[in-house]
Amino acid sequence: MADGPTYGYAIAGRLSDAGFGDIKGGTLYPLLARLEKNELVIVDWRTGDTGPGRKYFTLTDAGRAELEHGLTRWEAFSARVGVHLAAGGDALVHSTPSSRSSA
Amino acid sequence: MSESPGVQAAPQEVWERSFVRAHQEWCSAFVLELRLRDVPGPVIGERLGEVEGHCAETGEPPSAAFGDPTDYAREIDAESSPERVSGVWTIAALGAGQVLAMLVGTAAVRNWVSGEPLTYNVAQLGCLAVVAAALLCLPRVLRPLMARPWVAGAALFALFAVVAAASVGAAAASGTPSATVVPVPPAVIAIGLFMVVLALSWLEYRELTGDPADDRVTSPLAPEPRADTAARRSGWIALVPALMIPTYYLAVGILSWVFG
Repeated sequence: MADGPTYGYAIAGRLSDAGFGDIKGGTLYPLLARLEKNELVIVDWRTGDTGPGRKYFTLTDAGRAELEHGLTRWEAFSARVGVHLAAGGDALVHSTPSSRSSA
Repeated sequence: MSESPGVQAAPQEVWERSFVRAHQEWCSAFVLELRLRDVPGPVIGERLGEVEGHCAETGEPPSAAFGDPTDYAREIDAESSPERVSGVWTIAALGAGQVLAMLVGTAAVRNWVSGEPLTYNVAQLGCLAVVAAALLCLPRVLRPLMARPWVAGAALFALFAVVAAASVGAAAASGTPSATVVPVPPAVIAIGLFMVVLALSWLEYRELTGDPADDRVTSPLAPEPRADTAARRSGWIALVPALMIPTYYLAVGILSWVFG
């Protein structure tokens, strides 16, 4: 959605292409409904040459701000985990599974 | 791909769509669960439109893409706007009011015919209270009634049988000295309550048919070429429950006069 209006099936396709697996409609649409309820996206139905129609989701200003905020938090969390793993990396690599499970 | 924003054609009810007819069981269960949650018709139509649009793209049936319809309806409703329509509870309240007015009114007709004053006792008031409470709680038992109609139906029937038996016993005691005389002529009560029943029936009919465009389960998707039979049918169907109690009231009144 950061790139512009998009619809459920396209979002599922991009997530699948990115390696997140097959996202079912029953998982995807409740999440999109939550974004809609919280006014982070606006929706509109569009007709196409084929198919009955598509529901497009477009980020609002609040949605874009939430995206930026979420990215910032994710990068901070990811960096912290990276530092933590790097600091303990040798111990993790040289430990046996049994020693890790007993730790 | 050429796309144009917005679907401007007149809204079409979901039941006319070929997708819904092809997956009737799944779609009916999905709509029923959202209806029982008092979700407005157009919102239900939009949720079903998402399902249809997604399944058209993936080629999956709704059960494969969205799982159990009742579970999915609960999940999507939990994440949706809390907008609600009064529908089911209003109908239940109007129905309870009609039944109470009918029970008292038809008793008044019999007393009117026999020339005796209308009386009541504590047991009769208790029975009326149980009937009113049971009718007001009907929306709560709709879900089990739809899921297990025989079990829930038998339980409801047993409840009403007990209340009816208690009412008969209480009515038999209404002529005893412990009964209280209603200080209003039975004719006034009978005619007045019939007017009340008619007024409540009118309100019920308006609730069932009023502003149909506002609460029909309409699809946001491009309309398919189908006759609008469901919309024309709905007005006649709504007349049946609305006229049931006034008709019964009138029939009991006439029979009381003829055979009283």
